Amino acid sequence: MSSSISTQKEMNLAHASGSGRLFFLDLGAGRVMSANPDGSNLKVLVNEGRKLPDGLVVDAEAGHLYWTNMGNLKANDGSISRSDLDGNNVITIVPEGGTFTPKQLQFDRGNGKLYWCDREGMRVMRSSLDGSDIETLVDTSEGDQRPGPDAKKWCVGIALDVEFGKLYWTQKGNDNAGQGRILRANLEIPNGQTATSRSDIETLYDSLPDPIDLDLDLTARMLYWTDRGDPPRGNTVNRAHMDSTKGERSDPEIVFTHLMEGIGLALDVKGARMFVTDFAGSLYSANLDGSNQKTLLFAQGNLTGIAYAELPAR
Amino acid sequence: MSSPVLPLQLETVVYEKKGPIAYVTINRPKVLNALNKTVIADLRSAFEDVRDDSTVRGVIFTGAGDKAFAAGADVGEIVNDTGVEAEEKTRAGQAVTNLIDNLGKPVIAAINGFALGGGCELTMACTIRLAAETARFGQPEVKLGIMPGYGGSQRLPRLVGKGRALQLILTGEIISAQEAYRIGLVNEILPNANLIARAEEILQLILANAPIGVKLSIEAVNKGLETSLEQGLLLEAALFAICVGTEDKKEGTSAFLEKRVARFQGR
Repeated sequence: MSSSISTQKEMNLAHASGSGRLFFLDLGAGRVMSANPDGSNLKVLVNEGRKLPDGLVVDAEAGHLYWTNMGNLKANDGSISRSDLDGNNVITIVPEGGTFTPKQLQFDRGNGKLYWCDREGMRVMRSSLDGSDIETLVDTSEGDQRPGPDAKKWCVGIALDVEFGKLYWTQKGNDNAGQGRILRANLEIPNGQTATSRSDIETLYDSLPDPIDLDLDLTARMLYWTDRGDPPRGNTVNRAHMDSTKGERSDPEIVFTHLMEGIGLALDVKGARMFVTDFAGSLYSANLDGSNQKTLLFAQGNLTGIAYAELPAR
Repeated sequence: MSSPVLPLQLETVVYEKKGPIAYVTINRPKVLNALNKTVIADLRSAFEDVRDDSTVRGVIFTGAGDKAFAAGADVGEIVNDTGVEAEEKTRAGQAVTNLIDNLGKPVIAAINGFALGGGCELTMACTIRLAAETARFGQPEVKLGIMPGYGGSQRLPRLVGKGRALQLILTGEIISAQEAYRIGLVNEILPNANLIARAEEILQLILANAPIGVKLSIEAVNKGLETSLEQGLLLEAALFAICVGTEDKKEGTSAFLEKRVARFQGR
Protein backbone atom coordinates (compact mmCIF):
# COMPACT_ATOMS: atom_id res chain seq x y z
CA MET A 1 0.00 0.00 0.00
CA SER A 2 2.63 2.53 1.02
CA SER A 3 4.89 1.33 -1.79
CA SER A 4 2.07 1.90 -4.24
CA ILE A 5 1.62 5.47 -3.01
CA SER A 6 5.38 5.99 -3.18
CA THR A 7 5.53 4.66 -6.72
CA GLN A 8 2.72 6.96 -7.78
CA LYS A 9 4.47 9.97 -6.26
CA GLU A 10 7.72 9.07 -7.99
CA MET A 11 5.99 8.78 -11.32
CA ASN A 12 4.20 12.07 -10.81
CA LEU A 13 7.49 13.67 -9.91
CA ALA A 14 9.18 12.23 -12.98
CA HIS A 15 6.37 13.48 -15.17
CA ALA A 16 6.32 16.89 -13.52
CA SER A 17 10.02 17.32 -14.19
CA GLY A 18 9.33 16.41 -17.82
CA SER A 19 12.39 14.21 -17.92
CA GLY A 20 10.87 10.77 -18.36
CA ARG A 21 12.42 7.51 -17.31
CA LEU A 22 15.01 5.10 -18.75
CA PHE A 23 14.49 1.34 -18.82
CA PHE A 24 17.34 -1.03 -19.62
CA LEU A 25 18.52 -4.63 -19.35
CA ASP A 26 21.46 -6.40 -17.72
CA LEU A 27 21.99 -9.57 -19.74
CA GLY A 28 24.56 -11.10 -17.38
CA ALA A 29 22.31 -11.10 -14.33
CA GLY A 30 19.00 -11.29 -16.16
CA ARG A 31 17.72 -8.00 -14.75
CA VAL A 32 15.39 -5.25 -15.91
CA MET A 33 16.34 -1.86 -14.47
CA SER A 34 15.20 1.73 -14.62
CA ALA A 35 16.69 5.11 -13.78
CA ASN A 36 16.07 8.80 -14.24
CA PRO A 37 17.60 10.31 -17.38
CA ASP A 38 20.49 11.63 -15.27
CA GLY A 39 21.19 8.12 -13.94
CA SER A 40 19.76 8.77 -10.49
CA ASN A 41 17.12 6.70 -8.71
CA LEU A 42 18.38 3.40 -10.11
CA LYS A 43 15.92 0.57 -9.51
CA VAL A 44 15.96 -3.14 -10.26
CA LEU A 45 12.47 -3.92 -11.52
CA VAL A 46 12.87 -7.60 -12.40
CA ASN A 47 15.63 -9.93 -11.22
CA GLU A 48 14.86 -13.33 -12.66
CA GLY A 49 18.23 -14.81 -13.50
CA ARG A 50 19.87 -16.20 -16.57
CA LYS A 51 17.68 -15.90 -19.62
CA LEU A 52 19.94 -13.42 -21.44
CA PRO A 53 17.58 -10.46 -21.95
CA ASP A 54 18.52 -8.34 -24.94
CA GLY A 55 15.88 -5.98 -26.35
CA LEU A 56 13.31 -3.83 -24.57
CA VAL A 57 10.45 -1.52 -25.43
CA VAL A 58 8.04 0.53 -23.30
CA ASP A 59 4.33 1.00 -23.91
CA ALA A 60 3.94 3.98 -21.60
CA GLU A 61 0.27 4.45 -22.37
CA ALA A 62 -0.67 0.91 -21.38
CA GLY A 63 1.93 0.81 -18.61
CA HIS A 64 3.83 -2.17 -20.00
CA LEU A 65 7.45 -3.17 -20.50
CA TYR A 66 8.25 -5.82 -23.10
CA TRP A 67 11.64 -7.52 -23.38
CA THR A 68 13.23 -10.38 -25.27
CA ASN A 69 15.07 -13.29 -23.65
CA MET A 70 17.60 -14.94 -25.95
CA GLY A 71 17.78 -18.20 -23.99
CA ASN A 72 20.40 -20.73 -25.01
CA LEU A 73 21.84 -19.43 -28.26
CA LYS A 74 21.89 -22.90 -29.84
CA ALA A 75 18.39 -23.91 -28.75
CA ASN A 76 14.95 -22.84 -29.89
CA ASP A 77 14.09 -21.44 -26.47
CA GLY A 78 13.93 -17.68 -26.91
CA SER A 79 10.91 -15.88 -25.46
CA ILE A 80 9.36 -12.46 -24.93
CA SER A 81 8.23 -11.22 -21.51
CA ARG A 82 5.97 -8.41 -20.40
CA SER A 83 5.58 -6.68 -17.05
CA ASP A 84 4.05 -3.56 -15.61
CA LEU A 85 6.28 -0.49 -15.50
CA ASP A 86 7.22 -1.26 -11.90
CA GLY A 87 8.30 -4.80 -12.81
CA ASN A 88 5.28 -6.53 -11.30
CA ASN A 89 3.02 -9.02 -13.07
CA VAL A 90 5.69 -10.57 -15.27
CA ILE A 91 4.13 -12.80 -17.91
CA THR A 92 5.42 -14.61 -20.97
CA ILE A 93 3.71 -13.47 -24.13
CA VAL A 94 5.85 -15.36 -26.64
CA PRO A 95 6.76 -18.68 -25.02
CA GLU A 96 9.94 -20.68 -25.55
CA GLY A 97 9.86 -22.13 -29.03
CA GLY A 98 8.09 -19.12 -30.50
CA THR A 99 11.34 -17.48 -31.54
CA PHE A 100 14.93 -18.71 -31.59
CA THR A 101 17.20 -15.91 -30.27
CA PRO A 102 15.13 -12.75 -30.14
CA LYS A 103 17.21 -9.59 -30.01
CA GLN A 104 16.11 -5.95 -30.24
CA LEU A 105 12.42 -5.14 -30.04
CA GLN A 106 10.08 -2.37 -31.21
CA PHE A 107 6.37 -1.76 -31.07
CA ASP A 108 3.72 -0.12 -33.15
CA ARG A 109 1.11 1.16 -30.73
CA GLY A 110 -1.39 2.22 -33.36
CA ASN A 111 -1.60 -1.23 -34.89
CA GLY A 112 -1.00 -3.18 -31.69
CA LYS A 113 2.10 -4.99 -32.95
CA LEU A 114 5.50 -6.01 -31.57
CA TYR A 115 8.43 -6.35 -33.98
CA TRP A 116 11.76 -8.02 -33.24
CA CYS A 117 14.84 -9.48 -34.87
CA ASP A 118 15.61 -13.17 -34.33
CA ARG A 119 19.39 -13.60 -34.71
CA GLU A 120 20.01 -17.37 -35.01
CA GLY A 121 16.51 -17.63 -36.42
CA MET A 122 17.72 -15.43 -39.33
CA ARG A 123 14.50 -13.44 -39.52
CA VAL A 124 12.50 -10.37 -38.65
CA MET A 125 9.29 -11.23 -36.81
CA ARG A 126 6.08 -9.66 -35.63
CA SER A 127 3.26 -10.53 -33.27
CA SER A 128 0.25 -8.93 -31.65
CA LEU A 129 0.84 -7.28 -28.28
CA ASP A 130 -0.37 -10.38 -26.46
CA GLY A 131 2.09 -12.55 -28.40
CA SER A 132 -0.46 -14.09 -30.73
CA ASP A 133 -0.41 -14.00 -34.54
CA ILE A 134 3.35 -14.55 -34.83
CA GLU A 135 4.56 -13.82 -38.37
CA THR A 136 7.91 -13.88 -40.13
CA LEU A 137 8.28 -10.73 -42.23
CA VAL A 138 11.83 -11.23 -43.51
CA ASP A 139 13.64 -14.56 -43.73
CA THR A 140 17.38 -14.15 -44.40
CA SER A 141 18.28 -17.84 -44.08
CA GLU A 142 18.57 -18.66 -47.80
CA GLY A 143 17.87 -22.23 -46.78
CA ASP A 144 20.27 -22.47 -43.81
CA GLN A 145 18.96 -24.53 -40.90
CA ARG A 146 18.42 -22.91 -37.51
CA PRO A 147 20.51 -22.04 -35.55
CA GLY A 148 21.94 -20.10 -38.44
CA PRO A 149 25.73 -20.36 -38.62
CA ASP A 150 26.35 -17.35 -40.86
CA ALA A 151 26.61 -14.04 -39.00
CA LYS A 152 25.95 -12.13 -42.24
CA LYS A 153 22.36 -13.40 -41.98
CA TRP A 154 21.95 -12.51 -38.31
CA CYS A 155 19.27 -9.89 -37.73
CA VAL A 156 19.87 -7.84 -34.59
CA GLY A 157 18.61 -4.24 -34.37
CA ILE A 158 15.23 -3.00 -35.55
CA ALA A 159 13.33 0.25 -36.03
CA LEU A 160 9.95 1.22 -37.45
CA ASP A 161 8.75 4.14 -39.54
CA VAL A 162 5.03 3.39 -39.36
CA GLU A 163 3.93 6.59 -41.08
CA PHE A 164 6.01 5.73 -44.15
CA GLY A 165 5.28 2.03 -43.82
CA LYS A 166 8.94 1.04 -43.47
CA LEU A 167 10.92 -1.43 -41.39
CA TYR A 168 14.68 -1.04 -40.75
CA TRP A 169 17.01 -3.72 -39.37
CA THR A 170 20.70 -4.54 -39.00
CA GLN A 171 22.51 -7.69 -40.05
CA LYS A 172 25.72 -7.78 -38.07
CA GLY A 173 28.21 -9.85 -40.09
CA ASN A 174 31.20 -11.59 -38.55
CA ASP A 175 32.94 -9.61 -35.83
CA ASN A 176 35.07 -6.83 -37.32
CA ALA A 177 34.85 -8.27 -40.80
CA GLY A 178 33.24 -5.20 -42.32
CA GLN A 179 30.19 -7.24 -43.31
CA GLY A 180 27.59 -5.33 -41.32
CA ARG A 181 24.57 -3.89 -43.10
CA ILE A 182 21.51 -1.77 -42.45
CA LEU A 183 18.49 -2.79 -44.50
CA ARG A 184 15.00 -1.51 -45.17
CA ALA A 185 11.79 -3.02 -46.44
CA ASN A 186 8.07 -2.34 -46.32
CA LEU A 187 6.20 -3.16 -43.15
CA GLU A 188 3.95 -5.45 -45.17
CA ILE A 189 5.18 -8.17 -47.48
CA PRO A 190 4.33 -7.16 -51.05
CA ASN A 191 1.40 -9.03 -52.56
CA GLY A 192 2.29 -12.39 -53.98
CA GLN A 193 5.67 -12.48 -52.23
CA THR A 194 6.92 -14.30 -49.13
CA ALA A 195 9.31 -13.61 -46.27
CA THR A 196 12.03 -15.52 -48.12
CA SER A 197 11.55 -13.86 -51.48
CA ARG A 198 10.83 -10.18 -51.19
CA SER A 199 11.74 -7.73 -53.92
CA ASP A 200 11.45 -4.65 -51.72
CA ILE A 201 14.51 -5.14 -49.51
CA GLU A 202 17.06 -2.33 -49.87
CA THR A 203 20.56 -2.21 -48.43
CA LEU A 204 21.05 1.31 -47.10
CA TYR A 205 24.55 0.96 -45.65
CA ASP A 206 27.03 -1.87 -45.88
CA SER A 207 30.66 -2.70 -45.06
CA LEU A 208 30.02 -1.66 -41.45
CA PRO A 209 32.12 -3.23 -38.66
CA ASP A 210 29.32 -4.66 -36.46
CA PRO A 211 26.04 -2.71 -36.37
CA ILE A 212 23.76 -3.54 -33.45
CA ASP A 213 20.86 -1.36 -32.30
CA LEU A 214 18.87 1.15 -34.35
CA ASP A 215 16.68 4.11 -33.56
CA LEU A 216 15.04 6.74 -35.74
CA ASP A 217 14.60 10.48 -35.45
CA LEU A 218 11.45 10.67 -37.53
CA THR A 219 11.34 14.45 -37.26
CA ALA A 220 14.78 15.05 -38.74
CA ARG A 221 14.53 11.85 -40.83
CA MET A 222 17.80 10.59 -39.36
CA LEU A 223 18.83 7.00 -38.68
CA TYR A 224 21.04 6.30 -35.62
CA TRP A 225 22.82 3.05 -34.72
CA THR A 226 25.39 1.56 -32.36
CA ASP A 227 28.34 -0.30 -33.83
CA ARG A 228 30.05 -2.84 -31.59
CA GLY A 229 33.08 -3.49 -33.78
CA ASP A 230 36.61 -2.30 -33.14
CA PRO A 231 37.65 1.36 -33.32
CA PRO A 232 37.98 3.62 -35.21
CA ARG A 233 34.59 2.96 -36.82
CA GLY A 234 33.37 0.54 -34.18
CA ASN A 235 32.31 1.02 -30.57
CA THR A 236 30.54 4.15 -31.74
CA VAL A 237 27.14 5.66 -32.31
CA ASN A 238 26.62 6.60 -35.95
CA ARG A 239 23.97 8.54 -37.80
CA ALA A 240 22.95 9.02 -41.41
CA HIS A 241 20.02 10.35 -43.38
CA MET A 242 17.17 7.88 -43.71
CA ASP A 243 15.84 9.06 -47.01
CA SER A 244 18.91 9.53 -49.19
CA THR A 245 18.62 7.73 -52.47
CA LYS A 246 21.28 5.27 -53.51
CA GLY A 247 24.27 7.10 -54.91
CA GLU A 248 23.53 10.18 -52.83
CA ARG A 249 24.26 8.60 -49.47
CA SER A 250 27.16 10.23 -47.71
CA ASP A 251 29.29 8.30 -45.26
CA PRO A 252 27.75 7.82 -41.83
CA GLU A 253 28.70 10.43 -39.24
CA ILE A 254 30.21 9.14 -35.99
CA VAL A 255 28.68 11.04 -33.06
CA PHE A 256 29.87 9.03 -30.05
CA THR A 257 33.07 7.02 -29.59
CA HIS A 258 34.91 4.92 -26.99
CA LEU A 259 32.00 2.69 -26.07
CA MET A 260 33.04 -0.61 -24.51
CA GLU A 261 31.04 -3.03 -26.65
CA GLY A 262 28.25 -0.62 -27.57
CA ILE A 263 24.81 -2.23 -27.61
CA GLY A 264 21.60 -0.36 -26.77
CA LEU A 265 20.46 2.97 -28.17
CA ALA A 266 17.38 5.07 -27.39
CA LEU A 267 16.62 8.53 -28.70
CA ASP A 268 14.66 11.21 -26.87
CA VAL A 269 13.86 13.24 -29.97
CA LYS A 270 11.83 15.84 -28.10
CA GLY A 271 14.73 16.35 -25.69
CA ALA A 272 17.26 16.19 -28.56
CA ARG A 273 19.36 13.59 -26.79
CA MET A 274 20.37 9.97 -26.94
CA PHE A 275 20.96 7.27 -24.34
CA VAL A 276 23.45 4.47 -25.00
CA THR A 277 24.39 1.29 -23.14
CA ASP A 278 27.48 -0.86 -23.42
CA PHE A 279 28.13 -4.47 -22.63
CA ALA A 280 30.87 -3.60 -20.14
CA GLY A 281 28.13 -2.03 -18.07
CA SER A 282 27.94 1.71 -18.70
CA LEU A 283 24.98 3.95 -19.48
CA TYR A 284 25.70 7.21 -21.31
CA SER A 285 23.80 10.24 -22.53
CA ALA A 286 24.65 12.87 -25.12
CA ASN A 287 22.98 15.43 -27.33
CA LEU A 288 21.91 14.09 -30.71
CA ASP A 289 25.00 15.57 -32.35
CA GLY A 290 27.18 13.77 -29.79
CA SER A 291 28.04 16.83 -27.73
CA ASN A 292 27.66 16.97 -23.96
CA GLN A 293 28.57 13.31 -23.42
CA LYS A 294 28.06 12.01 -19.89
CA THR A 295 28.55 8.66 -18.20
CA LEU A 296 25.43 8.19 -16.09
CA LEU A 297 26.12 4.72 -14.70
CA PHE A 298 29.18 2.48 -14.75
CA ALA A 299 29.95 -1.22 -14.34
CA GLN A 300 26.30 -2.19 -13.85
CA GLY A 301 26.65 -5.63 -15.42
CA ASN A 302 26.31 -6.43 -19.11
CA LEU A 303 23.87 -3.82 -20.37
CA THR A 304 21.87 -4.47 -23.53
CA GLY A 305 18.54 -3.02 -24.63
CA ILE A 306 17.41 0.42 -23.54
CA ALA A 307 14.29 2.54 -23.94
CA TYR A 308 13.31 6.05 -22.95
CA ALA A 309 9.71 6.85 -22.10
CA GLU A 310 7.80 9.85 -20.85
CA LEU A 311 5.37 8.37 -18.40
CA PRO A 312 1.80 9.63 -18.23
CA ALA A 313 0.74 11.26 -14.97
CA ARG A 314 -1.26 9.04 -12.63
CA MET B 1 49.32 -46.93 -4.49
CA SER B 2 47.70 -43.54 -4.85
CA SER B 3 44.17 -43.40 -6.15
CA PRO B 4 43.73 -42.36 -9.78
CA VAL B 5 43.50 -38.62 -10.25
CA LEU B 6 40.06 -37.63 -11.44
CA PRO B 7 39.95 -35.11 -14.28
CA LEU B 8 38.97 -31.65 -13.08
CA GLN B 9 35.27 -30.88 -13.32
CA LEU B 10 35.25 -27.21 -14.31
CA GLU B 11 32.14 -25.30 -15.34
CA THR B 12 33.44 -21.87 -16.25
CA VAL B 13 37.12 -22.39 -17.05
CA VAL B 14 38.68 -24.33 -19.91
CA TYR B 15 41.84 -26.06 -18.69
CA GLU B 16 44.13 -27.77 -21.17
CA LYS B 17 47.66 -29.09 -21.02
CA LYS B 18 49.91 -29.30 -24.05
CA GLY B 19 53.27 -30.69 -23.03
CA PRO B 20 54.85 -28.41 -20.43
CA ILE B 21 52.34 -25.59 -20.92
CA ALA B 22 48.90 -25.36 -19.31
CA TYR B 23 46.24 -23.12 -20.83
CA VAL B 24 43.72 -21.63 -18.43
CA THR B 25 40.86 -19.81 -20.16
CA ILE B 26 37.98 -18.07 -18.38
CA ASN B 27 35.02 -19.25 -20.39
CA ARG B 28 31.94 -17.06 -19.98
CA PRO B 29 32.31 -14.98 -23.16
CA LYS B 30 28.58 -14.24 -23.35
CA VAL B 31 28.95 -12.07 -20.24
CA LEU B 32 32.48 -10.81 -21.01
CA ASN B 33 33.94 -13.48 -18.72
CA ALA B 34 32.47 -11.84 -15.62
CA LEU B 35 33.82 -13.33 -12.39
CA ASN B 36 31.48 -15.12 -10.02
CA LYS B 37 31.93 -17.68 -7.24
CA THR B 38 32.07 -20.55 -9.71
CA VAL B 39 34.78 -18.90 -11.80
CA ILE B 40 36.90 -18.26 -8.71
CA ALA B 41 36.47 -21.85 -7.52
CA ASP B 42 37.30 -23.21 -10.97
CA LEU B 43 40.40 -21.02 -11.25
CA ARG B 44 41.55 -22.25 -7.88
CA SER B 45 41.12 -25.86 -9.00
CA ALA B 46 42.96 -25.27 -12.25
CA PHE B 47 45.93 -23.46 -10.71
CA GLU B 48 46.20 -26.00 -7.88
CA ASP B 49 46.47 -28.67 -10.54
CA VAL B 50 49.19 -26.65 -12.30
CA ARG B 51 51.07 -26.33 -9.03
CA ASP B 52 50.86 -30.05 -8.28
CA ASP B 53 51.59 -31.40 -11.76
CA SER B 54 55.35 -31.57 -12.22
CA THR B 55 55.00 -32.00 -15.98
CA VAL B 56 53.50 -28.51 -16.26
CA ARG B 57 56.14 -25.81 -16.19
CA GLY B 58 54.29 -22.69 -17.29
CA VAL B 59 50.80 -21.28 -17.83
CA ILE B 60 49.06 -19.12 -20.40
CA PHE B 61 46.03 -17.45 -18.81
CA THR B 62 43.43 -15.76 -20.99
CA GLY B 63 39.72 -15.11 -21.56
CA ALA B 64 37.52 -16.83 -24.12
CA GLY B 65 36.44 -14.72 -27.06
CA ASP B 66 38.06 -11.56 -28.35
CA LYS B 67 36.28 -9.00 -26.17
CA ALA B 68 37.34 -9.61 -22.59
CA PHE B 69 39.88 -11.23 -20.36
CA ALA B 70 37.43 -10.64 -17.50
CA ALA B 71 35.32 -7.51 -17.29
CA GLY B 72 35.04 -7.47 -13.53
CA ALA B 73 32.80 -9.16 -11.02
CA ASP B 74 29.39 -10.50 -11.94
CA VAL B 75 27.36 -7.56 -10.63
CA GLY B 76 24.23 -9.65 -10.24
CA GLU B 77 26.04 -11.75 -7.68
CA ILE B 78 27.40 -8.97 -5.50
CA VAL B 79 24.53 -6.48 -5.32
CA ASN B 80 22.88 -8.31 -2.42
CA ASP B 81 26.00 -9.33 -0.50
CA THR B 82 26.36 -8.56 3.18
CA GLY B 83 29.72 -7.51 4.57
CA VAL B 84 30.40 -11.01 5.86
CA GLU B 85 29.62 -12.60 2.50
CA ALA B 86 31.74 -10.00 0.75
CA GLU B 87 34.72 -10.72 2.97
CA GLU B 88 34.43 -14.43 2.22
CA LYS B 89 34.34 -13.72 -1.51
CA THR B 90 37.21 -11.30 -1.29
CA ARG B 91 39.31 -13.83 0.59
CA ALA B 92 38.44 -16.50 -1.99
CA GLY B 93 39.53 -14.16 -4.78
CA GLN B 94 42.69 -13.21 -2.92
CA ALA B 95 43.48 -16.90 -2.42
CA VAL B 96 43.40 -17.33 -6.19
CA THR B 97 45.52 -14.27 -6.90
CA ASN B 98 48.02 -15.35 -4.24
CA LEU B 99 48.10 -18.86 -5.68
CA ILE B 100 48.90 -17.51 -9.13
CA ASP B 101 51.48 -15.05 -7.81
CA ASN B 102 53.33 -17.69 -5.78
CA LEU B 103 52.84 -20.64 -8.10
CA GLY B 104 56.58 -21.03 -8.63
CA LYS B 105 55.93 -21.42 -12.35
CA PRO B 106 55.64 -18.53 -14.82
CA VAL B 107 52.08 -17.45 -15.62
CA ILE B 108 51.68 -15.26 -18.68
CA ALA B 109 48.44 -13.30 -18.90
CA ALA B 110 47.36 -13.02 -22.53
CA ILE B 111 44.98 -10.08 -22.13
CA ASN B 112 42.64 -10.23 -25.07
CA GLY B 113 40.23 -7.45 -24.12
CA PHE B 114 38.73 -5.88 -21.01
CA ALA B 115 40.61 -6.52 -17.78
CA LEU B 116 38.52 -4.62 -15.28
CA GLY B 117 38.15 -4.90 -11.52
CA GLY B 118 38.83 -8.47 -10.46
CA GLY B 119 39.87 -9.24 -14.02
CA CYS B 120 42.64 -6.64 -13.82
CA GLU B 121 43.60 -7.97 -10.39
CA LEU B 122 43.98 -11.49 -11.76
CA THR B 123 46.33 -10.21 -14.46
CA MET B 124 48.41 -8.33 -11.90
CA ALA B 125 48.99 -11.59 -10.02
CA CYS B 126 50.55 -13.10 -13.16
CA THR B 127 54.27 -13.18 -13.78
CA ILE B 128 54.06 -11.30 -17.10
CA ARG B 129 51.24 -9.46 -18.86
CA LEU B 130 50.86 -9.16 -22.63
CA ALA B 131 48.04 -6.99 -23.98
CA ALA B 132 46.09 -7.04 -27.19
CA GLU B 133 45.91 -3.65 -28.90
CA THR B 134 42.23 -3.50 -27.99
CA ALA B 135 42.70 -4.40 -24.31
CA ARG B 136 41.43 -2.01 -21.65
CA PHE B 137 42.41 -1.88 -17.99
CA GLY B 138 40.91 -0.40 -14.86
CA GLN B 139 39.93 -0.65 -11.23
CA PRO B 140 36.44 0.91 -11.40
CA GLU B 141 35.24 -0.32 -8.02
CA VAL B 142 34.93 3.15 -6.46
CA LYS B 143 32.22 3.88 -9.03
CA LEU B 144 30.17 1.08 -7.48
CA GLY B 145 30.61 2.22 -3.90
CA ILE B 146 33.31 -0.32 -3.12
CA MET B 147 37.08 -0.70 -3.64
CA PRO B 148 39.41 -3.31 -5.15
CA GLY B 149 39.10 -6.60 -3.26
CA TYR B 150 41.26 -9.19 -5.03
CA GLY B 151 44.61 -7.54 -4.43
CA GLY B 152 44.45 -4.43 -6.59
CA SER B 153 45.30 -2.00 -3.78
CA GLN B 154 48.46 -4.01 -3.06
CA ARG B 155 49.72 -5.26 -6.41
CA LEU B 156 48.97 -2.21 -8.55
CA PRO B 157 51.25 0.17 -6.58
CA ARG B 158 53.97 -2.48 -6.64
CA LEU B 159 53.70 -2.63 -10.42
CA VAL B 160 53.21 1.00 -11.46
CA GLY B 161 54.12 3.01 -8.35
CA LYS B 162 51.96 4.56 -5.65
CA GLY B 163 50.94 7.73 -7.50
CA ARG B 164 49.75 6.06 -10.67
CA ALA B 165 48.08 3.28 -8.69
CA LEU B 166 46.13 5.80 -6.65
CA GLN B 167 45.14 7.73 -9.74
CA LEU B 168 43.73 4.58 -11.32
CA ILE B 169 42.04 3.32 -8.16
CA LEU B 170 40.56 6.64 -7.02
CA THR B 171 39.29 7.81 -10.41
CA GLY B 172 38.12 4.38 -11.49
CA GLU B 173 39.10 5.36 -15.01
CA ILE B 174 39.68 2.90 -17.82
CA ILE B 175 42.99 3.05 -19.66
CA SER B 176 44.06 1.74 -23.04
CA ALA B 177 46.66 -0.92 -23.70
CA GLN B 178 49.03 1.83 -24.86
CA GLU B 179 48.73 3.71 -21.58
CA ALA B 180 49.07 0.45 -19.63
CA TYR B 181 52.31 -0.20 -21.52
CA ARG B 182 53.56 3.33 -20.94
CA ILE B 183 53.15 3.06 -17.17
CA GLY B 184 54.59 -0.45 -16.99
CA LEU B 185 51.43 -2.38 -16.20
CA VAL B 186 51.93 -4.59 -19.28
CA ASN B 187 55.15 -5.74 -20.91
CA GLU B 188 54.14 -5.83 -24.57
CA ILE B 189 51.26 -4.93 -26.88
CA LEU B 190 50.39 -7.21 -29.78
CA PRO B 191 47.65 -7.73 -32.33
CA ASN B 192 45.05 -10.00 -30.75
CA ALA B 193 45.79 -12.73 -33.28
CA ASN B 194 49.43 -12.90 -32.15
CA LEU B 195 48.82 -12.89 -28.43
CA ILE B 196 48.89 -16.60 -27.64
CA ALA B 197 51.78 -17.28 -30.01
CA ARG B 198 53.87 -14.58 -28.34
CA ALA B 199 53.00 -15.93 -24.89
CA GLU B 200 54.13 -19.36 -26.05
CA GLU B 201 57.34 -17.90 -27.46
CA ILE B 202 58.18 -16.19 -24.17
CA LEU B 203 57.32 -19.32 -22.20
CA GLN B 204 59.56 -21.40 -24.44
CA LEU B 205 62.42 -19.00 -23.70
CA ILE B 206 61.78 -19.42 -19.98
CA LEU B 207 61.27 -23.18 -20.17
CA ALA B 208 64.68 -23.61 -21.81
CA ASN B 209 66.18 -22.45 -18.51
CA ALA B 210 66.72 -24.22 -15.21
CA PRO B 211 63.39 -24.85 -13.48
CA ILE B 212 64.77 -24.32 -10.00
CA GLY B 213 66.51 -21.12 -11.05
CA VAL B 214 63.26 -19.84 -12.52
CA LYS B 215 61.23 -20.79 -9.46
CA LEU B 216 63.63 -19.25 -6.98
CA SER B 217 63.99 -16.10 -9.08
CA ILE B 218 60.24 -15.59 -8.89
CA GLU B 219 60.42 -16.16 -5.15
CA ALA B 220 63.28 -13.72 -4.69
CA VAL B 221 61.46 -10.98 -6.55
CA ASN B 222 58.09 -11.59 -4.89
CA LYS B 223 59.35 -11.92 -1.34
CA GLY B 224 62.02 -9.30 -1.79
CA LEU B 225 59.40 -6.71 -2.69
CA GLU B 226 57.75 -7.34 0.66
CA THR B 227 60.86 -6.36 2.62
CA SER B 228 63.78 -3.93 2.72
CA LEU B 229 66.64 -3.92 0.24
CA GLU B 230 68.97 -5.28 2.92
CA GLN B 231 66.64 -8.17 3.71
CA GLY B 232 66.02 -8.72 0.00
CA LEU B 233 69.72 -9.06 -0.63
CA LEU B 234 70.03 -11.62 2.16
CA LEU B 235 67.14 -13.56 0.65
CA GLU B 236 68.79 -13.42 -2.76
CA ALA B 237 72.03 -14.79 -1.33
CA ALA B 238 70.23 -17.65 0.38
CA LEU B 239 68.29 -18.61 -2.73
CA PHE B 240 71.39 -18.25 -4.89
CA ALA B 241 73.15 -20.73 -2.64
CA ILE B 242 70.33 -23.21 -3.15
CA CYS B 243 70.72 -22.90 -6.92
CA VAL B 244 74.46 -23.44 -6.68
CA GLY B 245 73.81 -26.71 -4.88
CA THR B 246 71.69 -28.15 -7.70
CA GLU B 247 72.58 -30.62 -10.42
CA ASP B 248 71.25 -28.05 -12.88
CA LYS B 249 74.06 -25.66 -11.92
CA LYS B 250 76.58 -28.30 -12.90
CA GLU B 251 74.73 -28.96 -16.12
CA GLY B 252 74.36 -25.28 -16.96
CA THR B 253 77.95 -24.34 -16.36
CA SER B 254 79.24 -27.48 -18.10
CA ALA B 255 77.06 -26.87 -21.14
CA PHE B 256 78.30 -23.31 -21.31
CA LEU B 257 81.94 -24.37 -21.19
CA GLU B 258 81.32 -27.19 -23.66
CA LYS B 259 79.41 -24.87 -25.99
CA ARG B 260 76.29 -27.04 -26.11
CA VAL B 261 72.63 -26.67 -25.20
CA ALA B 262 71.97 -27.44 -21.54
CA ARG B 263 69.59 -30.21 -20.59
CA PHE B 264 68.11 -29.22 -17.24
CA GLN B 265 66.42 -31.78 -15.02
CA GLY B 266 64.95 -29.59 -12.33
CA ARG B 267 67.04 -31.02 -9.54
